[in-house]
Amino acid sequence: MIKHLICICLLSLTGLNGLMAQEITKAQTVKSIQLKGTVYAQEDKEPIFGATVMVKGTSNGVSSEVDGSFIISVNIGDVLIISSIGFETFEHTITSDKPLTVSLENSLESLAEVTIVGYGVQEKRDLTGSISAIKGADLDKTALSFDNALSGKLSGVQVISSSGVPGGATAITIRGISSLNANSNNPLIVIDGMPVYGSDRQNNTTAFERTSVPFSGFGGTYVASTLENKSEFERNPLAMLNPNDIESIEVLKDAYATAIYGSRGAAGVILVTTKSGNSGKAIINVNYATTFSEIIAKPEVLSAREYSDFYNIQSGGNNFPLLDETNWLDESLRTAITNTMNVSMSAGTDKMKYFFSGSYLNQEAYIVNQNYEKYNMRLNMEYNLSDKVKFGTNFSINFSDNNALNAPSIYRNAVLKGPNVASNTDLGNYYFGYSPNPAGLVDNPLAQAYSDINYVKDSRTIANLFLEYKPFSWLTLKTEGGIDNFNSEAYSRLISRPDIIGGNATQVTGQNRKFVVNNTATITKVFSNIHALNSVIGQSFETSRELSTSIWGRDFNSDEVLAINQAGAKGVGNTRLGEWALFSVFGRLNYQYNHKYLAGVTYRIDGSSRFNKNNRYIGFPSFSVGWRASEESFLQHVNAIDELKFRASVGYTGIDGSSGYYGNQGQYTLQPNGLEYGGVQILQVSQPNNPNLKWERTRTLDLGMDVSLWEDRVELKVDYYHKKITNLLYSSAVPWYLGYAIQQQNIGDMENKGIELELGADLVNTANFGWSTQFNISRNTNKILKLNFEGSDATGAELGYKYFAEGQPAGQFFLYDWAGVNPLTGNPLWNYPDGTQSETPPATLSNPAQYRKPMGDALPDFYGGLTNTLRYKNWKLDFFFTFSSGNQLYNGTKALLMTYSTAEAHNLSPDILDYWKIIGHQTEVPQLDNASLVSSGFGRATDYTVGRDSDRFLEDASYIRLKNISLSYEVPKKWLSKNLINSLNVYIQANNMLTFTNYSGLDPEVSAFGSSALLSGYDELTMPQSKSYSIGINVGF
Amino acid sequence: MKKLHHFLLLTAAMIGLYACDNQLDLAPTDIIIEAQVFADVHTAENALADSYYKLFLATTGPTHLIADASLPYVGLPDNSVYYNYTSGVLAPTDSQVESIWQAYYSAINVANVFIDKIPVFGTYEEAMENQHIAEAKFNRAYAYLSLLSYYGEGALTGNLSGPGLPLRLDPYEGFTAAEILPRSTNEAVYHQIIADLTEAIPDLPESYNDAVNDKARATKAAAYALLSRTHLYKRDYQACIDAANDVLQYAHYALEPDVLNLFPSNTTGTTSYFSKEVLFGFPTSSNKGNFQYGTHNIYYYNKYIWVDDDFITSMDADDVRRTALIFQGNPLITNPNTKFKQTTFKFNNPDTRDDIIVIRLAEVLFNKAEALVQQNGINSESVKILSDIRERSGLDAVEEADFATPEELLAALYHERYLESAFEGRARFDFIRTNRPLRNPSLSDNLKTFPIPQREIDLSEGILTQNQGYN
Repeated sequence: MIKHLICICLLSLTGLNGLMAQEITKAQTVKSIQLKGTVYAQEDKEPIFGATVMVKGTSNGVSSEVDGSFIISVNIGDVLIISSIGFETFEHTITSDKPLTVSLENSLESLAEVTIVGYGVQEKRDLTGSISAIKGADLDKTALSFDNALSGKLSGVQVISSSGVPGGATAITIRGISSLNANSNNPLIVIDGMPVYGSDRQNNTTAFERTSVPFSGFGGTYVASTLENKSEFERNPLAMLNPNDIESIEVLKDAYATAIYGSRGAAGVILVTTKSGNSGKAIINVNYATTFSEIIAKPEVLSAREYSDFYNIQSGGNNFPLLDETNWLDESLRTAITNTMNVSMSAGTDKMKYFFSGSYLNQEAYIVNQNYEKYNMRLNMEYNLSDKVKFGTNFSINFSDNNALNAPSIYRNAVLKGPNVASNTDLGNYYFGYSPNPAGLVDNPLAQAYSDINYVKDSRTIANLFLEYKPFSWLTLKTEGGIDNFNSEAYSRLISRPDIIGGNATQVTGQNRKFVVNNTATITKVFSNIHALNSVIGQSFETSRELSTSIWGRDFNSDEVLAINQAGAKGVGNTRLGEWALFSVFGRLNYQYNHKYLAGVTYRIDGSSRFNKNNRYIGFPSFSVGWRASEESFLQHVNAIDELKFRASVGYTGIDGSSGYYGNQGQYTLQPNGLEYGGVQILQVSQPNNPNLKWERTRTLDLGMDVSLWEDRVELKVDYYHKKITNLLYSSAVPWYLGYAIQQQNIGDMENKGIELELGADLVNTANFGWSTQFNISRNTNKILKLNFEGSDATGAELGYKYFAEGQPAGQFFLYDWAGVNPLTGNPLWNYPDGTQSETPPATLSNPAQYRKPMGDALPDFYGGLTNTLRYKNWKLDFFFTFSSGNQLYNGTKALLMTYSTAEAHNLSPDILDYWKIIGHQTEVPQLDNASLVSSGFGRATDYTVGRDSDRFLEDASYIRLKNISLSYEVPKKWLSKNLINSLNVYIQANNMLTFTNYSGLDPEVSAFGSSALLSGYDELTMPQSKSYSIGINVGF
Repeated sequence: MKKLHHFLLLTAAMIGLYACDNQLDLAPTDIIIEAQVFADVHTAENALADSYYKLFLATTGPTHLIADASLPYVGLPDNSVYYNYTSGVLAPTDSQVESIWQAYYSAINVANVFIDKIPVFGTYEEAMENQHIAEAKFNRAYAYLSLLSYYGEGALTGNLSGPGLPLRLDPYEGFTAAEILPRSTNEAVYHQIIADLTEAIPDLPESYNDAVNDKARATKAAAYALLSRTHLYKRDYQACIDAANDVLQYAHYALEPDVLNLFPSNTTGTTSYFSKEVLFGFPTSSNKGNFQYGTHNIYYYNKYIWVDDDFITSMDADDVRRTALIFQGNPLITNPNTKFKQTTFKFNNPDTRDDIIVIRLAEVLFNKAEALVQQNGINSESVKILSDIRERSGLDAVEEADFATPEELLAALYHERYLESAFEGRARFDFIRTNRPLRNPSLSDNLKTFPIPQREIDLSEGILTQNQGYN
């Protein structure tokens, strides 16, 4: 009824009644029957005014009158499509000329015409912001997590799965990098109106105990610049949600769309709407799929014979005898099986509607004995207390158990461990060590896989309750309260072994809890038939508490005892407790004149506990205008153009996470080494008080155009944007006489410029055959305008050796220029900036940074996706490509597999066998003892050939990937037993089947630093994605 | 139905009210913020410990070594970087030129925070608040005097109008162009040091009722002693004499008859001990550090620098400072270049964990003796002081008649101070202020002052000027 009223208001007062009936009469063919009919709302039996009645496949259409009646010319056998805003579209095949009575079912979000926006909905044609939307049904059914499934689907949205570990993090970047804080580029995730915990490296990373290889003595060779292999696992907090529950996803990109989320809008906002119930007969859906997956490509390493021979030559003696042979990789890899089952029921009455679902997933990693399980339950319910009052809930319980934490480490060790080392002792126990070699990895990847315990169990409740009151037809008051309660428990255990007697264990528990209260008043009012207002004012309060505790134990009496209080030695590791709150007031006012001229303004004031008290509140305005040229009289008669809209917006958003929990208040910690002065513990400043620091501010300008042609057969959306970030927080030099060397300052400016295009076309659409295609492409150019006092910063060790300089994109690789191997000497050659070449590694010279140069960044120049859907009768073939161009990726995997000089005696890539052997030998691999292996005295040496500081292994990782291809068959209704099964669909699907890339590693789509976009671009034996084949069935009852 | 509507509206309004501003005042529970630190006497003392610790960091290590190594009594390896500080080739980008500057200003900032925030946030006993502020002022004065000695152009040679230091007295609270300071004159910096000490003295205690803290923290006597040093450096002799006399009124400070009690053997480096002669020092041994953390980094024991052979032979054979305070150092050294060198017993802990004596009574007496001669020419009090110090080290007393001119007496006092305070980190300044040559006799007067770090000049956009002789 409510929807109905809105429709009546909107349609009757905008004077479209006559217009639609008359105007949608393009390209009519002669029809024989004048069919009469009436359209009713099923819910309240009221006639629907302004419903569109069209003959399918033609432009022949009318709209219903105030009493719901219509007359349309049709032929027997035509299919009528009856649609109206707020209702499910209804199709009816004409069998006779009898008057037709159609009752339409309510649809809360009829996505064809209405788009979810921040704190409300808006008719799609009236949108002036830049929003990309996708329906849940168009997401990959086999994707573990909805964010993975967004990859390549929407323009301006870049999604990279960081690795092939089940439940591993995903890096989501919307319209480029917005902050130089490594963890502040993640979009805000809002589920059913409630902001929830999204990707955040700090919140989602579980560190666990793994010992490094003990070195003997001081000697040995070290790689000049490596990335430390950290024992940590960053999970994807969105993987816990059930993608099958998703009705639609809207990605808000420009300032007009995001400014209503104020201080958290700068990196974009992803709105997820879950399914709701329908009134009428219960609809039950059951989906079941089985997926077989394996590593996308297997790393190539030396056989035991080759390994032994190589290291014997390299070490000059039979130091690496061939006594045993273990193919660690073969023993660690498997074809993994994933089973997923999803059941949902949607039902209701006039009064009450509900959607209920449950799902179970058991995903094996392609590493043996590592798997991931998750359970989801959801209940979305809505109850109409009266015409004016309704309340409801969206309630989901999610549980996941990730036993695959150890998979990255097992994979790494399986690749690197000497293949001439036995996996078991003579007694049948796992062998730890490197005998018969003089050195090597102690870890045994098989013991890790089968004996060590590593898991993280997460449970997450996301729920909200709402109450809606509609005192007048033009006013809706809504209050809602939500919670995101995210608990996790991680345990990792190394079993007892010769070098770690009694083993060790780490247990981390975390509790993240967020409460949100939103109160909104929505006003929809039309004046004088042509002026319409759609506005919302509201207020929101959000409070979050994040707690984690880590405890450790060593020297367990038995591997069977897991409890840490039984450990011989135990203690408390890191503990963390943070609280923050956000109080906001916001409003949006959209005005439209006759659906032709559109204008809007939004404003949000955020007050955050993270700000200093004296400048705690900050406002974020935005403005937009739109012009639907297609409504102008001069375009009315152009039949091809259904919609032509130009829109522009400008506004401000912010990033709230970049200055920690307590803003810029002075913070103190005890001197880390426990020092005292005169018997008093020393308390030192860890962050000086800085009341002058401001928050980063992003101004976005967006110019867009929406075009729809030939009865919506072709839809085009183009956006240009310019995003300027000012007050960037960056550490820069301050005079020493102020007490510090460098401090965070609001010194930087950065911009992102880009263009996005989304194109959809129904190329062929006949009864038996259909072909539709969706294409999107985005280009983003990032540039730092102002950085710090020096104008550049090469110290970015924690940013993965990235370089920042004014005038260049953020996060450049800043490397020495490797010039290959001198065929005369076998020594590496290095390019120097003055154009000369030398065999002297520049890193050994004084002030070496002058010899480095920026070598591109990890984010692509452009990227996108192409979906094709071919339908023949009941068969449907989908294939979906994603592509990315111009992104650099550091092949640290190759660097590791070319590192023979260190005491680890890694297994190596077969490429190493082509090392330079004789004068004139043209090769990429230097001679084994070469001039870039530099002695630093005391028996130590530094290997400059495989450090991450040269461009030897930096590669262009542009790719085109056949992300998935699926073939499905809809079993004809006539074959189904009418009363039991309504629909039956079976499909087979293959993911990551084909990849076209020049990247020499296994997978161009990995990132060693998880969700951080700024740190992306490193493949450090990062587990590649899997290649998988699925078979599935969907049954509707 | 109407009732229900009212109820619902009321509920919504209440939920709205719940979310008000004071919900945003969240106090952290896992870290301590500035306002809390200075509210409570216990945490304020913890923070004050950092003020002293920062001063310790700034004063020890290279700061100490360069001041010693500027004179030939210290033996250096051929390739030692310490030659740079007297050779005349010192660059404004030299790492120690930068780090000494940085370390003292870091200590000054901690003191500035204290002086600024205690009145704002302090909620404990006012007398104790004032004492803490006074201690911070003492530390700030010490840091500024050390900086001025190194960087003030002509600060030690009476050029009071010469460019001194950027005088930063406010805590760091962000950096904008408004924070860029010019150099105050030497006189202005001296004035600030004297003002800090004079203001601190009434609020400083005479004692902390703890043997170590009596020396490790600022007392009235320590402040007077530093004041006497300041006035002597500034060449304000009457004020120097007055300040020295103020120290001497405290009877519990006295010359230690046995120098080995002043510089005791300290092989473990775990317990701090200061003799009654000490007015102020850093209790390194008891700072709970180890061989790696909390050390003073003054490497006499392992003879990275050592005592020059010529200096030893120039000393009287019976001088206790030669017989007792010169030793072999680490007996395990095998390096042929240093194996047979001798070093100072003033730093005898193998892990560089000796307590550091910063001000002791002998210096105050020398200050007074020197100022008296400058003021009154040859006088009995100065000669008595010289004799007392000599006799303590087993040398003969002297008499007024031994000196024909005041200059002769001054020269004797200078020489005795040189022997007495050798390796204690101040000889460079004593030699500069008395116009005596440093290790490199041809070093010009201009270059005896350190250059201002180039980075500071660059960051100041030209407001900070360089010392003469550097470019």
